[in-house]
Amino acid sequence: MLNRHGFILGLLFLGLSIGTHAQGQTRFSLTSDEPTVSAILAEITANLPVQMKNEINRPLVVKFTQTDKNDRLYFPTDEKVKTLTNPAVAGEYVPGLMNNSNEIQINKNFLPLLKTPGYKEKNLTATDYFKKTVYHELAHIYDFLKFRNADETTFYKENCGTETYSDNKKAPWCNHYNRVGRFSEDMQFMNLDNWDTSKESKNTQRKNAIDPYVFKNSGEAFAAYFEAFMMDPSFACKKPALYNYYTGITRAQPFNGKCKSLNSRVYTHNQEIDLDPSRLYQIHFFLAAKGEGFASRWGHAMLRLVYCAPYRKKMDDECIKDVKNHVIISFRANIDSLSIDNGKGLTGKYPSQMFVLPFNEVKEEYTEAEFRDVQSLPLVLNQKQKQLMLEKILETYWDYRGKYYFLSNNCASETLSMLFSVIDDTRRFDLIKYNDVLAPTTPVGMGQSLIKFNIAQYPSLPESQLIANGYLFKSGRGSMDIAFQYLKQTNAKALDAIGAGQVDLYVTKTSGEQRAALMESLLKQAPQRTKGILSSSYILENNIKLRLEWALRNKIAKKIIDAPEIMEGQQFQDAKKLQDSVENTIVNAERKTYGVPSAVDFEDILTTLNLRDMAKNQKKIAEDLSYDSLLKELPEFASQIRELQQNTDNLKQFLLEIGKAISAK
Amino acid sequence: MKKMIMAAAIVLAGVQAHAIGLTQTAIAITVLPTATLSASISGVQKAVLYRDGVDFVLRSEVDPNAAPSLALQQELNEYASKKPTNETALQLTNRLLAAEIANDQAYLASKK
Repeated sequence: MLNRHGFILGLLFLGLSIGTHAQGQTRFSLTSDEPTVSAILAEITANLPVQMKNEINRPLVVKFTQTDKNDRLYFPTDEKVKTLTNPAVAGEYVPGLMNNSNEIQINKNFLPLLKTPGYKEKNLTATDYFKKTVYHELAHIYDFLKFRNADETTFYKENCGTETYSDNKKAPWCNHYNRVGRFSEDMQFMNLDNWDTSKESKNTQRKNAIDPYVFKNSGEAFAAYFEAFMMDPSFACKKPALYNYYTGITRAQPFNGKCKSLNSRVYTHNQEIDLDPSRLYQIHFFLAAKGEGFASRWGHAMLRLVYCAPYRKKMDDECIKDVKNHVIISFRANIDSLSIDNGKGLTGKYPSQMFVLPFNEVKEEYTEAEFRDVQSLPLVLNQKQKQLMLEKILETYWDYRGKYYFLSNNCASETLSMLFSVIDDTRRFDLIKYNDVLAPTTPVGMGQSLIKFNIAQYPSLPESQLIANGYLFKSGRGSMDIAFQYLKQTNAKALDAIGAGQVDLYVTKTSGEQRAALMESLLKQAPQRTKGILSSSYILENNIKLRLEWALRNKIAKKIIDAPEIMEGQQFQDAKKLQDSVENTIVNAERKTYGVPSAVDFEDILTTLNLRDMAKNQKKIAEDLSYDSLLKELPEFASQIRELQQNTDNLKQFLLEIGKAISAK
Repeated sequence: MKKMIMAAAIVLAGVQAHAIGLTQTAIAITVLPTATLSASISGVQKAVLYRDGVDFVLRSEVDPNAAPSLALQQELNEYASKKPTNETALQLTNRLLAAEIANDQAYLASKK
């Protein structure tokens, strides 16, 4: 929980013992001169993972002394703790310390409380607080024991040229590798718990943390989570990926192992979905090609959760075609304003948030609205890693918000971090993150890196097969070109007559009335091509709809931005709040528990925040919007609104004609 | 500015789409007056049927070997799993499109 040890001193003491721990009888013991705690220490000793006892392999003494500069003992629930700006460092709020390898110092004010039967503050008894403190210090001791294994040392020598811990000039990334000596600086732990460096957490979402100290440094986070691993029966369900990590490094499974009733439900775009691990077939690296906007010129990196449709009895490659059931995990800058400020994007002023999105919506966004191809690269993950990824996704959904930097902490780096929170391979992570010339902080470069290092594979198939099997989704531009060519082949002169000899001119320069008249004219001239003419007109009109809406949106946004009396008005803020997405509300809310909520807690959150009502209200606002009301209130945009209205009428008309044409056959 | 139109402005300005890239789709979904259309009679997702179904109809006009998109194919599979049919993908698409459009037409007529 607290900073209470001399790291360097501990390193010197404990480093001497590396490789010397006994395989059989351990020399570990935990004793104190205070008889009051002998039974508790015996219990801790009995419960402590055998792996830890074997590795620590020395007698430890618990000594009661003054650890707090004011000689006070604050419980974590004490309101005073919340007011401390720099606890522990300032010598306040220090229940325990680890100053050398053989002694754990405990705040002496524990003693009278431990002698008072049943003493507790809020729901925490003095006995449990004492246990947590001892476990915390034991975690620090164990943390210092982790050094590179033989393989890592060989790799390091070959690539960095020295075994010393000093800065290495040969390659900058070797400095990072140098630091990887403790569990709390282990690549996988740091990615699991969102650490950029051991001193800097990427997570800015701190109100629902298990303990504020998990943000102090990765060493304190490691110790604080270990307390929960040993003492919180719900830790396996609240932090399932972290629970798995501790299980791996201690070879212990407190409270009967993994979570038995993980709540995998989340809210996405105001719909509840279940990230059910039992139907997950594969996870793909999902890569949108470069776009035209500043923020999308490097592509966009995402993950695709390939779920099998409920009706499938067999889980195989056919599931890759079940796109309706797939889910996209996408880190994006959460821009809570009406326009994107590139300056803010470059300087980390936007939150980096993980969105859980329906596959078809994301695919359409990139291929139809932005004309970008999307590749889907299957990741080389085993069953356990896939399960872990889902657990990490849930932890991230509920507990993480970073800072989005367009050029550094972006979709690629966040996705890479997700990947290496489940792939325990420091070498490949360091090679990709620090040493790969493919520039992995760009999504496109990251895709190439993942293939190069055999983390993802892209099938060697002809393009048509890649499309047919769900590995490639082509830009909607192709459909538009086919539609336009069909109209042109029907009567090129008619298109020229309205100044629409090319597809881009048809989309941007013609009016809705012209297009409706053109469609009628073509039908009369070539009735044998009715279905094609109608389908082509509809496809082009659909694309025009996106362009018109986008243009109108920008005009209205500008109007609002330029009018502070509107922007800052209560009505606007109320309406905006109403329109805020449910997932944003969840992330911003203060909850009763940390981590992934149980099913009961989840329902409680939905009820408390009125989330279901919020989703209904959003739908209602959309339904209440009409072109008449827009025209009345925004007369300066009348021409754009009327054009959009005509476009909508065209779509309806074309569709109805298609219906007739198909039925007539 | 009235409250309702204020909300409309926010809808147009990027509802629930604070995130880069979400804006266009969010607006497309919100502004399209699908709310005036009735619920699907076939259980097939109407948006997929209309967009990908019409695209498939067109592609089939120019290429006899055209295949439906994966999204459309999945909708057709799910429909066929409930109501088995020997129709080809194109025949089934045509039939569902016709039924769906007729249903919407009737609904719109009833609203007038």
